[in-house]
Amino acid sequence: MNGRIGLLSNNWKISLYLLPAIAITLLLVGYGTWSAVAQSFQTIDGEWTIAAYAELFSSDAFFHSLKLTFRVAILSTLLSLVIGLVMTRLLYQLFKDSTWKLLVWIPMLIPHFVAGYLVFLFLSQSGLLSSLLYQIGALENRANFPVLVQEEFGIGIILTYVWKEVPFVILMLLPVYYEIDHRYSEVVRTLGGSNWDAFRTVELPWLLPVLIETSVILVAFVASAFEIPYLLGVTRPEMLPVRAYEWFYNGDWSKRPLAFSAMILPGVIALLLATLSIGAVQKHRLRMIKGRSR
Amino acid sequence: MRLFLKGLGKRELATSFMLILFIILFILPFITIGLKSVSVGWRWPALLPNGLSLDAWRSIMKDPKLIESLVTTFKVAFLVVLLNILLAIPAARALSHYTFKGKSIIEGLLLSPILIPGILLAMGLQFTMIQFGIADKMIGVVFVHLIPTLPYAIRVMRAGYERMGSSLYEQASVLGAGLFTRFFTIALPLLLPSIRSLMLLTFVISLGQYALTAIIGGGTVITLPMLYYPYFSSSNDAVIAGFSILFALLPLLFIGFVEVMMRLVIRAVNRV
Amino acid sequence: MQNLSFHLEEGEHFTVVGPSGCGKSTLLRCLAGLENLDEGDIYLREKSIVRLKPENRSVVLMFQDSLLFPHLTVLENVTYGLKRKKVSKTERMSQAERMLKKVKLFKWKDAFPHELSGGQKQRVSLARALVLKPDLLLLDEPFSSLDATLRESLRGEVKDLLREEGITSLFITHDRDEAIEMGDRLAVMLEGRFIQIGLPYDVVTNPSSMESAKIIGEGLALEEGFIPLSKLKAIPVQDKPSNQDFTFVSGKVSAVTVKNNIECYRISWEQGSVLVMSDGRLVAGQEVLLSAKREEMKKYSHKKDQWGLAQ
Repeated sequence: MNGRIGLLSNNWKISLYLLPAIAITLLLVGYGTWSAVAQSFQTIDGEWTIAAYAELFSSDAFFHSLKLTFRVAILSTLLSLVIGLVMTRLLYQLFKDSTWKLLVWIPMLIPHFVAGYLVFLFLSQSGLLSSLLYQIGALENRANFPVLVQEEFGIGIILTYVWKEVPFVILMLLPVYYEIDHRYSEVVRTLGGSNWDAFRTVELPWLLPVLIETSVILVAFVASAFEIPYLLGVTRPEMLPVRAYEWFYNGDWSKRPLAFSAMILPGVIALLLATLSIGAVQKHRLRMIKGRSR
Repeated sequence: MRLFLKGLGKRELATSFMLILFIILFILPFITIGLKSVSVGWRWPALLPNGLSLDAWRSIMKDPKLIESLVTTFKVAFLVVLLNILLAIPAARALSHYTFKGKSIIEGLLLSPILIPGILLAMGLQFTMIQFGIADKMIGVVFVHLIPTLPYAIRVMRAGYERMGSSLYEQASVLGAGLFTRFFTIALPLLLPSIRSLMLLTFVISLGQYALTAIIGGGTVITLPMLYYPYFSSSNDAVIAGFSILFALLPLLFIGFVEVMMRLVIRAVNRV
Repeated sequence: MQNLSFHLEEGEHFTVVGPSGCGKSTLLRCLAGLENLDEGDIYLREKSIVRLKPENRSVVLMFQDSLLFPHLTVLENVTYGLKRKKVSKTERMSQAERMLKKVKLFKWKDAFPHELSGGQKQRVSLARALVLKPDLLLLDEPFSSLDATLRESLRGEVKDLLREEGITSLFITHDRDEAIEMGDRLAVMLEGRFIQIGLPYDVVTNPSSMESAKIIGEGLALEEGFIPLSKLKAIPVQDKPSNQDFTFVSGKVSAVTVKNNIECYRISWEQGSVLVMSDGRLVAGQEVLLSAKREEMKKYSHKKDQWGLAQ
């Protein structure tokens, strides 16, 4: 403890600090990916083949699942972003005070499946909203209440994700809102711009990178998450992660390659989105920094 | 009334509305399930239960599987949090205070678990883990829980380090403080909020894992989520509600525990 | 602000001077529509605009900090308002370029704000406002963040430009020299009300109250009256004449400066400092008396207008 480690050069220090995290990540993610990819190309007997992919791509059911999965992912993300943005915009002054910020954290503390249960409790046909509507006379019969949960379109799933992810969006956007100099909004208005102009000129340029980053994270997450669809989804069509899980645990291990190939697809799409968006964000950032006077 | 409304601009009105919406969406659900967990016979279309009873809670508490899985869950979560702290803090320090060749590649690598489906990785790792004998064991589950937690842990700590700035460190070393002294006396107190967020976030993520635990734990390692799903299909509403509340309470318990621990650590550090 | 009422002529440049916190900025913001009036009305060309949103008023506010949009070029900044009005691109460009030429920044049209100096940024900000040909231009201490020499040169430029363009403007400042130079008429503001309005020279040499004198008067603001600077002399303490025709205030020499080969002395006294001359020679630190003939002291007029407000 007498500073001897301080004699290590910076490069050594960096390597030391990063080594554990990198090692674990390489092991879990690097090796995990490699192993998964490899197993998707093999049969149970160890032969190399693309049979799994062939079967997948010729299956209608698979495409339905794919469509459903990404539809749910994109809709959840869009809704969360819009709602989160509106809430942040209106309430960011309030959130400076930490008691309100605490409220935002609440959904973050709840496991996903409990959130799913909440949606079920409130929005199923025999749920509380239905009861409320009946009590005030707006609903005659619980069968008339629209099927929101456990149905084909995945509305219940989408709502659950939105409930869980809006706080995440808010927490990601807040720092941006605190950094923005809001006097610029007044400049826009005195020059004749509307509220929308103020948003586009003063806020959007700074929000864009964060919005893109957040949407990639959310889409990737929802497309590959298991817990909620397992609770609230229907048997046909299923979201991909549930389908993959079932193939994985199918009696013998013969369906395993299918499971792997099914989940590799969302992974590849997520990586693609990420690389594309990094390029776009970099270009945008460059333009902003060129003009930034701070 | 009109004067009152006139006094409120459109913006204030929208803000108040949002606030009320907020409260309804985030607080009402918990009051409701709290109520439900102590209710008897609450069916559609009633807006309130027929009666109150602690039966649901009694049956929850008496379930031996539940106590056991609670312990397992805590053990796993505790180790996951610990490992995250040990891994993320140095990594975040390196990423925030230094620049070096290949930094963006490393950043990409460390953040990649956010993009690559965790379930895919768990499936991929399972076979190897079986071979190494860590599948079906708690340690395997702990490892696999690092996948969804580590990237966020690093992110949170990195933000904390960046807020702190590297100049404080440099000042301290100029004044002759060694590495550990510097860390414990300067960085730690300033990073405390980030560490708290990290612990909370990591705990909650670990708490909510079903697929990963199922795949690697193989039915031997039973954590709380594994019990939840069968309970959900069973028909006793009050029990599910109670169970759900349990899940909501656990993070709070954990924070409480952490706060106590932190006070002790700080006291110990100050004595050094 | 309280009980404020005044009237601007077209093409007039009206200056409001007052200490910090007296409500000058609030006045501008209310006129611009960025803040609401609890009571009262604002008429522009005989139409009430008090209910209009800032973007719908033909009033532009120029801020203390230039606040140029950092991610837009100088030209894009200047054309911003025109674009909101949906002016055609060719028209926008020609108007903006014309205005940039007038503020002598045409060469910089494709530069970004961070490449400009403070003075240049304010000029762009002015161009951005003027190009919209507002019915009323409000300037909120636009020179206060610039250094003294720059301020002086810009003052003249801006005044000429506003006159050329025929813009009615309201300018606020806490700097006395600026107040005198910039406006056709001057109002002295204190605690939310105007305590004197008039021609700059009149206000400065004939303050209507001690408060007004303190803020803007060139001379000594005493309770009994106001002594213009031109009638003041500094004399050594021992030279105090026994003549009762004079009035005295004690002070100390804080600085000696030379203007046009004549020595002037900055004398600090109880309530501030003044620059005066002396018959003899004085040295720094010397205790002196500021003296003037009693008959030169001007009593405060305490004029009031038809609303009972101090004029």
